[in-house]
Amino acid sequence: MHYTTLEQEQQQVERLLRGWIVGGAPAPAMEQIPSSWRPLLHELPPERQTLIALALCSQYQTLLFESQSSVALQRIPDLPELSLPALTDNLRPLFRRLLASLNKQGGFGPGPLLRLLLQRGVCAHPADWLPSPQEEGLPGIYWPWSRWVVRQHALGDACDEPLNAENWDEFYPAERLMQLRGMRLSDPDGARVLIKECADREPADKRLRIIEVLATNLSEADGEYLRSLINNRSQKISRLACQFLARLGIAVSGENDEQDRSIAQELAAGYEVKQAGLLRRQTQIVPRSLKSKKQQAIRSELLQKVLFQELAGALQIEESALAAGWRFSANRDGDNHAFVLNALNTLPENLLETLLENAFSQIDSSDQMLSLIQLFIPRLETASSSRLMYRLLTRKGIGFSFTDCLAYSDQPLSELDWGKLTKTPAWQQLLSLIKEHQTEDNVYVEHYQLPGELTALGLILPQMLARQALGTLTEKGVMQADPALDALKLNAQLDPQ
Amino acid sequence: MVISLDVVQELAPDQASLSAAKKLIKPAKWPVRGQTPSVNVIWGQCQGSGANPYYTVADVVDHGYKCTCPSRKFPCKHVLALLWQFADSPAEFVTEDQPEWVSEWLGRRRKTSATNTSETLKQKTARKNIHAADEASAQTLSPEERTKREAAKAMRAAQNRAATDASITCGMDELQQWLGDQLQTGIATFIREISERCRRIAARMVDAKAANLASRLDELPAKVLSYPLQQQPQLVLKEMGQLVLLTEAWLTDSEDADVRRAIATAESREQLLSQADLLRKQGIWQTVGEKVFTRRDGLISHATWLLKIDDAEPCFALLQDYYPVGTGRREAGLKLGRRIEGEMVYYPSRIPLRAVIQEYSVHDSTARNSSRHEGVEPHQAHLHHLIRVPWAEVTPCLLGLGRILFDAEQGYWWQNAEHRQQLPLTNQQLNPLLLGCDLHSAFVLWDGEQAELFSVHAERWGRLQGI
Repeated sequence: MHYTTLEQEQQQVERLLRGWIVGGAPAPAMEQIPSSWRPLLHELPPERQTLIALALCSQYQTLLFESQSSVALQRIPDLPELSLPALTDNLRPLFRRLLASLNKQGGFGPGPLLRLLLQRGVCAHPADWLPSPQEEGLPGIYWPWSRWVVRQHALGDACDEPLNAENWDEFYPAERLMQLRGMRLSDPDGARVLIKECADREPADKRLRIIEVLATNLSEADGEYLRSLINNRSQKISRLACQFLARLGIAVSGENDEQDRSIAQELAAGYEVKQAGLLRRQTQIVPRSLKSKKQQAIRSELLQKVLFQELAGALQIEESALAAGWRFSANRDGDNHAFVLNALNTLPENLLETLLENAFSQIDSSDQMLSLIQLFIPRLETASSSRLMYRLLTRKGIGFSFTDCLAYSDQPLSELDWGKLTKTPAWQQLLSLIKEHQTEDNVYVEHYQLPGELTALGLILPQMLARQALGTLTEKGVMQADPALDALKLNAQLDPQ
Repeated sequence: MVISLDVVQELAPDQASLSAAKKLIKPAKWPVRGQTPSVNVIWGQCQGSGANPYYTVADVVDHGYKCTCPSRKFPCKHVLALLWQFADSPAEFVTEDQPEWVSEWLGRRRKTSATNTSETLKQKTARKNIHAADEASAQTLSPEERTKREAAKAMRAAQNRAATDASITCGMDELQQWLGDQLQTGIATFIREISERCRRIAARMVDAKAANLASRLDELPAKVLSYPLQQQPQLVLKEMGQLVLLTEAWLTDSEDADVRRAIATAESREQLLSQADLLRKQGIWQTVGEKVFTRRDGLISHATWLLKIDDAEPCFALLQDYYPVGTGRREAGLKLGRRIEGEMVYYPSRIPLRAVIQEYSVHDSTARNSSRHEGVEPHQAHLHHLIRVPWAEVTPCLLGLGRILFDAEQGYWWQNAEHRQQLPLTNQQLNPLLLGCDLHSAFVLWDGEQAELFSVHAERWGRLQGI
C-alpha cells in the first residue's frame, strides 16, 4: 500500500477510535472509514457497520506493534561466577527446604547452611538463594554476589570499581563496610589508610562502625592511627581507640589520665587482693561487701568504664593476675558481665585465654556462667573456639545444647568422634526427648526443641558423624521423612568436592 | 509393607467409590507407581479426567493419604485405586526414594495419628463390599434394551445441544447489542464502570449457556486494569473487536470447534478421546510454564504449558484444568523443568494448543536438551495465530537468545541478543537472577502488546522460574 494511503488510513482509524472512546458518535459515515474496508461494509446496516469497523480496527491495531522500546533501557551486569561449583541438582530441593525451615525457625538465617556447603567445597545455586542487600556475616566467598545484589538495588548508580577514596561516597554504607572487611583480610594496611582518609567524612555513628572494622587483623601497624583517635570529638570513638590500643598492649595517655587513674582507684578500693591455696599460692581478687545499693550501682558503672589495664594497675597486680584471679563466684552476675565485656574489648588474645580458663573453672558457680563464657567465642581464633565448643558440649550439668553450639561456631565439630558425641549431655538429652515423646500411634516425634536440635546437629557434625547420627536417630524412632532430619540428610549426602 | 483389601474396603466412603476405584486399576492409567518402605508410603500419578495428572500418595501404615483431584469424597477413588493395586501386587510399585512432592506432603503432615484413622474406620458404617465393586457396572442388558437406551440418550443429547445452540445464538445477538451500546456511551465511561458492566453481561452470557465467553468477560476488568491508564481504552477496543469477531463466527458456523470451545464449554476428556482423527504428538515434553489463579467466578484455573523438546521447531501443549476453590490449590504438579515422555492428544483446532496427556512416563529431568530451539518472532507468531483464530488472547512463544532489561519506572523488558527487538513484560516482579545472565531461551505468552514471562533457560544456571 502507498505510504500516503497508509498514513491516511491510520488517521481515519485513530479518528474512529477517538470517537468510540468519547462516545455519543453516530455510526461512522462511509467516507470516515478507510477506503480498503469499504467493500466489506457498504451493504451492511449502520449498526452492523459500526461493529464490523470495530473488529477491523482491532485487527489493525495489532498490526501497528513496534518492537523497539521508546524509553531508555538499563542492563545489569552478569551475576559473578564464584570460585566453587554450585550444589548439584539432586541436593537442591533439600537445600531449599532446609533454608525455608531455617528462615522459619528464625535466629540463624542462611549462614550455618552456607558454611556447611563451603566446608564441602560447593556454593549455593543462585536460583535457590541470593543474599539480601543488607545481609551481613556471610562467608566471604559470597561477597561478589552481595555486591551484585546491592548494585542491583542501586539500579546502576553504584560504582564498578573496588572501594577507594575517590568513589567512597558512591557506595552504600553496608556495602562499604563489607568491602572494608574484605580489604582488612587481604590488605590490612590499605584498608587502614583508606579508613584514615575517608572516615572523617562520615557522621559519628557511621564513623564508629567503620573504625570497628580495624578489629579484623588488628596489629601494631594500626597503633599510630589509633593514637590519633584518642582525642577524637566522639567519646565512643575515643574509647574504642583506647580499647584497641589496650588490646595491642600499648599504654594510653590522654588528656584525662589523672581523672581516669582516680576513678580506677575508686573501683579498686572495692576489691581485696588475696592469696589463696595451700600448695600453689594463687592471687584472688574478691569484692569487698558494700553497704548500699547505691554503692553497688556505682561499682557496676565503674566496671564498664575503667579499662581492664587501669584496674590491674590500681590493684597493683599484673594484668594476667587479674585475669586469672577474678572470683566470678564472689561477684554479682551483672558485675561479672561488665568485667568480661571490658576484658573482651581491651585484652590481647593470650590474656583472654587466661580469663576464659578462669571462667571455665568456675562454670558451675552460677547459671549465668555459660552465657558469660559464650561471650568470648567471637574473639577467639577458630581453633580455640572449636576447642571451647568441644569442652562445653562434653561438660555435664550446664545445659549446652547443639543449638547453642551452632549459634557460636562456624566450624564443624571435627574434634568429636562417634563415641564422644554419644556421651555428650546434649546427645543424651536428645535421645531422652525422643523416647519420652514417642508413642506407638505417633507418626512423628513431637517436641518443640527437637526440630531445632536436630537441624543444629545436622549443620555442625562432620559428614561421617552425620551419617551415623542419621542412622541411629531413625533406629530410635525418628521418622526418615521427618523434615527435622533434613540437615542431617543434606550433610550425610554432601560429599566433599 | 503390606495392606489388605479389607482395609481398602473399610477406608472407602461408599460402595460407589469402590466401583469407581476398580475402574482405575489399569497400568495404563498409572504411568508412575512407587513405594518407599522406610517411610511407609506409596505414591502414583493417575491419568484422571483432568488435563493434568493427579498426584496420589498414601501411607500404608496409618492410612493417611492425599490426592490432587478435586473430589469431595475422602478418600477419593484415586487413593483407593492406589491402595488396592498395592494390596494386589506390591511388586509392581518401584522401590525408590520418595519424590520431592511426596517429601513435601510428609513434611507437612504432623500427628496424623492412627487413632484418628481407626476412629474414622469405625465411624464408616456404610455397608461396602470390595468384591462387589464391579457388580454395578456388570449389570446385563439385552441388546435391544441397550440400543433403545443409547438411542434415547443420543436423542436427549441432540435436543439439549439444539436448545443450547439456540440459547447461545440469542446470547450472541444480545452481546452484539451490548457492544454497540458501550461504543455509544463511550469507552472512557465504560472503563470507569468496567467491573459492574462486565459482571452484568457475564451473568447474561451464563444464562445464555455461553460459559467460556462469560468467564472471558468476567476476567476483562482485571486484564484491562493491569495495563497503564493511557493504554486501557485501546485495549478495551481491541478486546471488543475480538468479541465482535467471535460472535460473528458463531452466527456464521456454530459447529466450528474453536468457536464452540471459546463460547460454550470445552469437551470433556472422554468426549475428546472418543473423537476420531485427533492430532497426537509423541515425544519428550518439558514443563516451561505454570499459572494457577482464582477466577472471578470462583473456579481455580490451573494451566500448565509444555514444550516438546525433541523437535526442531517449538511445539507447545496446554494442559488446562478448572476446579472449585474449596478443593484447595494443588501443591504437586508437573513443576517447572520436569520432563515426561508420552503422547499429547490435542483438542481439534486450527492452531492446536490445548491437549490432554494420553500415556506417559517420567523422563530424566537432569538430562540436557536433545534439541536447541532457535526461538521465534512473537509478533509474527501471534499474527499467524490471529489469522486462524482471530479471538485468540495470547500466543505461547519461545524467545531466542536475549536478556532482561528494565526501564526507569522499573518495568521489565526482554531484548534479543542483536538488540533489535524489545518486548515489554507484564511481570511485576522477577527473580533477580534473571536480570544478571544471558538467556538462551525464554517462554512467554504474548498478547500482541505485552508478554508474560514464565521461565527462562540460562546457559550458566539452567532452567529458571520467572518469579
